[in-house]
Amino acid sequence: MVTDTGSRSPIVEVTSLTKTFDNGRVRALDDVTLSVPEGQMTVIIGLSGSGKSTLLRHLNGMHQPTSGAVRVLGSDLVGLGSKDLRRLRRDIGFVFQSFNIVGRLSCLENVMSGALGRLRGPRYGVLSYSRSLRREALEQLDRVGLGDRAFQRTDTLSGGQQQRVAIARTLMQQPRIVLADEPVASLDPEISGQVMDVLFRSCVEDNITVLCSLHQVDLALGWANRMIGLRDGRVVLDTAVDTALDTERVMEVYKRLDPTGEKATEYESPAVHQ
Amino acid sequence: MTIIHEPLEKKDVRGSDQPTPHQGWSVNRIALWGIVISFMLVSIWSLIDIGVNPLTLFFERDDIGNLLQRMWPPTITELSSVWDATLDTFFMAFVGTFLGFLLAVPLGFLAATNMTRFAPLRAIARGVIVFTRAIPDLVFALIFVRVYSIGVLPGVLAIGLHSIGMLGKLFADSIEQIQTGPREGVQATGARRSQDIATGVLPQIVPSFIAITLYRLDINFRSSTLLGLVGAGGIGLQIRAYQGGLRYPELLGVTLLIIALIVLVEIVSTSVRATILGHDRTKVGLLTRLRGGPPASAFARSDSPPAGTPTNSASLRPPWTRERVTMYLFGLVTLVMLVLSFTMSDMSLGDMITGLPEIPQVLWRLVPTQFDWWQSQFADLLIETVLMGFAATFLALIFAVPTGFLAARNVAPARWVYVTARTFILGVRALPDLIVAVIFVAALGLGPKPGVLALAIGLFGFATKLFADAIEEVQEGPRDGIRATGASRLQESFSGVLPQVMPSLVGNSLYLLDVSIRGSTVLGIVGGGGIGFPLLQGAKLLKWDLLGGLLILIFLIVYTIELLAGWVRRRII
Ligand SMILES: Nc1ncnc2c1ncn2[C@@H]1O[C@H](COP(=O)(O)OP(=O)(O)OP(=O)(O)O)[C@@H](O)[C@H]1O
Ligand SMILES: [Mg+2]
Repeated sequence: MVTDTGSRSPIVEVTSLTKTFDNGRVRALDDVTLSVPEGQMTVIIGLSGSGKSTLLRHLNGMHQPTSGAVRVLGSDLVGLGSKDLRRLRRDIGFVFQSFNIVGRLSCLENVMSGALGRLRGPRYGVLSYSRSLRREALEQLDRVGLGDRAFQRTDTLSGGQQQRVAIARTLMQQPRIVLADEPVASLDPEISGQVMDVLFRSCVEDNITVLCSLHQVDLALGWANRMIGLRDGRVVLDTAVDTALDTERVMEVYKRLDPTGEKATEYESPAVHQ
Repeated sequence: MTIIHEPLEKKDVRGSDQPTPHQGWSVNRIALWGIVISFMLVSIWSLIDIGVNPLTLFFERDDIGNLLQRMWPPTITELSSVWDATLDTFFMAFVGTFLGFLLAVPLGFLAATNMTRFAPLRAIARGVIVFTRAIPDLVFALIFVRVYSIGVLPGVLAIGLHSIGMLGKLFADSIEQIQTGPREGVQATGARRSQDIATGVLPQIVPSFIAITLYRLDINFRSSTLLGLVGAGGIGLQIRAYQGGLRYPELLGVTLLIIALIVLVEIVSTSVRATILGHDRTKVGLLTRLRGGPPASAFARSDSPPAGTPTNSASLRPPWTRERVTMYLFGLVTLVMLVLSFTMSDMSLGDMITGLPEIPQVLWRLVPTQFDWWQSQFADLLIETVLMGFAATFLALIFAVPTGFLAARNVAPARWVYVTARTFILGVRALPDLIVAVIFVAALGLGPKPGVLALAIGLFGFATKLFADAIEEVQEGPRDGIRATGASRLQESFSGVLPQVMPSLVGNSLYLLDVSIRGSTVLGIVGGGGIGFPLLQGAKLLKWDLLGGLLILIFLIVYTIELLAGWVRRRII
C-alpha cells in the first residue's frame, strides 16, 4: 500500500512476526509483516492491547519473537548475542511512555547517558564524562528547549519536560532509528503537541527513521508519512499519509469486530481532525 | 550484642498487600493463633521457671539499692586511659562499620533477585547474610580475641563480620526495590552491564545505602562499648577491669559516660541521616523533632535551581548546590575519620590486611569434626537461653505497651507527658544491656535472673520506641469517629487506636522475641545465665569443636525463631 518510498532500502524488516505470552494464551502479535525504508516517519495506531508496544519492543530486542523474523539495520535480531544486541541498540533510540529517565540524576547526566554505548567504562557523576560530551549533551538539551535546566534534578521537572530530556538522551545516542512507544500518552494535549514536534523535528533534521505508536492520530498527521493500524495483533491498516487520508478507515482500526467486546465500550474514539 | 537492632524487615512493602486474614478460621489463622497463644504460655512458664515476675525489680530493691550505694558517687579515674579507650571504642565501631559496608555491598548485589540471575549464587549470598546476622558480634569477638589476641583488631573484625548480615540484607532489599524503568531506559541506549549499574542503578540506591550504613554505625557504636568485656578493646575493657576489681564508683562513672556518648552518637547519626535522606524517607528521632522539625533533605526537590532560573548555559560544571556540597563533605569526613582511626587508635592497617584473609580459616576451624564436645548440660542451658528470651520479651511487653501510648505524640494525654516519656526511653535505650547485666549480676548474684532483668530493660526501651512510632502512624479518621460519639480519652485509645496498631504490635512483639533470644545467648558471658558461659569457657580453653558446635546450635535456634516470627508477621501486618 505504501508506494512513495519504495525506492529506498528497508531499514526495518519484519516478516511473519508472531508473539504469544503466557504459553500461548495471549497472542499479542499475529503474523505481522512490514518493512520500513530509511528516513520514513511511521505512526502505529491501535486500541489498547492491540500489540503496539510489543511490536516496537521487538525492534530493539527487548522482546524475542515466538516465530517470524526481525531484521533491523541489516542485522537479524532473532537469537542475536547480547554483545551484538548492545552494539545494535546504540543505533536504535527508544522513547518510552513512562520516560524511563533516572530521576535522581541531573538532566545533563541523563542526556549524557545516551552516549554510554560509545564509551568504554561505567560513569558516575557529571564530571566523569569528558568536556566535549558535556558540551554535546548541553546542545541536545538546548535543542529540546531545556538548556537552562542542565543541572536540575530530572524528577523535579514536569512530565513534558522529562520526556524532552528522554528525547535529548535518545538524540545523544546519534541513532539511525528512533522507536517511540506512546511518547505523549501521559501528557496533556497541548504539551503533547510540543513534545511530538520536538521529537519529529529533531529526527527529520538528523535524518532519523521514526516508528512511533500513538493514540492521538491528529498529533501524528503533521509529521508522519505512513500510518499502520494494528488490531488484535494484526496489521489492519497500512497507508501513506500524504494521500488524502480516509478518516473512516482510520476509525475502523479502533472498532472491534465484536461490538459487545469490552474494549470497544471502554475505549473512547480518538480525535481525528483533518 | 546490644538490644538496639536492625529495623523491621521492610515491613510495609511485602506485608501490606496481603489480605488481612480476618474472615473465617483458615488453617493459617488457626496456626497463627496457635503460635500467639503458645508464645504466651511459654512466656509465663519461663517466668515461673526462672523465678522472675514484673515486680522482681521492686522486690529486689534492697540488693540493688545496696549496690547503687556502693557505686555512689560515680567517679572517673585514670582519665587518659579512659579517653584512649573511648577513642578506641569509636574508631573500632567506625572501621568495623566501614569494613562491613565494603563486604556487604557486593553481597547485597549477589543476593538481589534483579541483579543475580543465578539462583545458587543468590542462595549462597543469602546464607552468608543469615549466618553473620545470627551470630552476635560479641561471640565473633570472643573467637577473634583468641586468634588475634586482645586489642582493637578482633573488635573491628567482629563488628565488620556481624554487620554484613544486616547491611547485606537491607542493601539487597533496597536494590530489589529500585524502579526498573530507568534501567530499561539506560539499557535501551546500548549500555554495557557495568554502565547500566553505574547509571541506572547506583543513583537510585546511594542515598539509602548511606542511610542504612549510618544507622548501622549507630548500632555498632553501642556494641563496641561492650566488646571489651571479652577483651576486644575499647571502653568495655575498663568495665571488665572495674567489675573484676569491685571498683564500683568507677564502674558507674564509665557507664554514665557510655550512655552520654551513645546518646550523642545517635543524635549525630540521626541528623546526618535525615540530611542525606530527607525526612520523608527516614524516621527522624525525637531530638530532631523537639528541635523544631528535621533539617531539609540534601536531596529535596527544593535544592535544585528554582524553575525558570536559567543556569549559565555555557557552564559545563555542575554548580555547588547544597546536595553536592553535602555529599563532598560527607565523603571528606569519612576519609578523615578513616585516617584518624589508624593514627589515633592502636589499630594498624597492616594487621587488618593480614588478619582479614585468615577469617575463613578461623571459621573453618570451628566446624566440629566429632561429637565428644557435647555435654548433656548444654541441652539444659540452650533451653534456658530460649526461656530467658521469652521471659525478657514478656516482661518488656508488659511495661512497653502502656508506655508506648504515653510516648506517642498523637495519644499522649499531654505534651509534657510525651516529652518526658520519649526522653526517658531515649535514656533507657542508651543503656547497653550487658552493662546492666554486669551491674545486676553484681547485685543479685550469678544466674538467669539478673540476665533476664537486664535484657528486659533493654528490650523495654526498644519496644516502647517501636510501639510509640507505630501508634503515631495511625489514621486519624477512625479516632475522630469514636471521639464524635462522646467517648472518653481512654475509650478512644482502646477503640480507635488499639485495633489499628494491633497488627504491628503483634508483629513487633515477635520481632522483639527474635532480638531477645539473640541477646540471651551472650548474657552468660557476664554471668547472666544461659549458653553464653560455656561459650566463654570454650573460647578460653580453645576448644574449637565445642565452640563451633554450640554456635551451630545457636544459629539453628535463632534462625528457626526468626523464620517463625517472620512467617507470623507477614500474615498479620
Ligand atoms: N509481558 C507480557 N506478559 C503477558 N502478556 C503481555 C505482556 N506484554 C504484553 N502482553 C499482552 O499482549 C497484548 C498486547 O500488548 P501491548 O502492550 O503490545 O499493547 P499496546 O497496543 O501497546 O497497548 P497500550 O495502548 O495499552 O499500550 C496485550 O493483550 C497484553 O496483555
Ligand atoms: Mg503500549
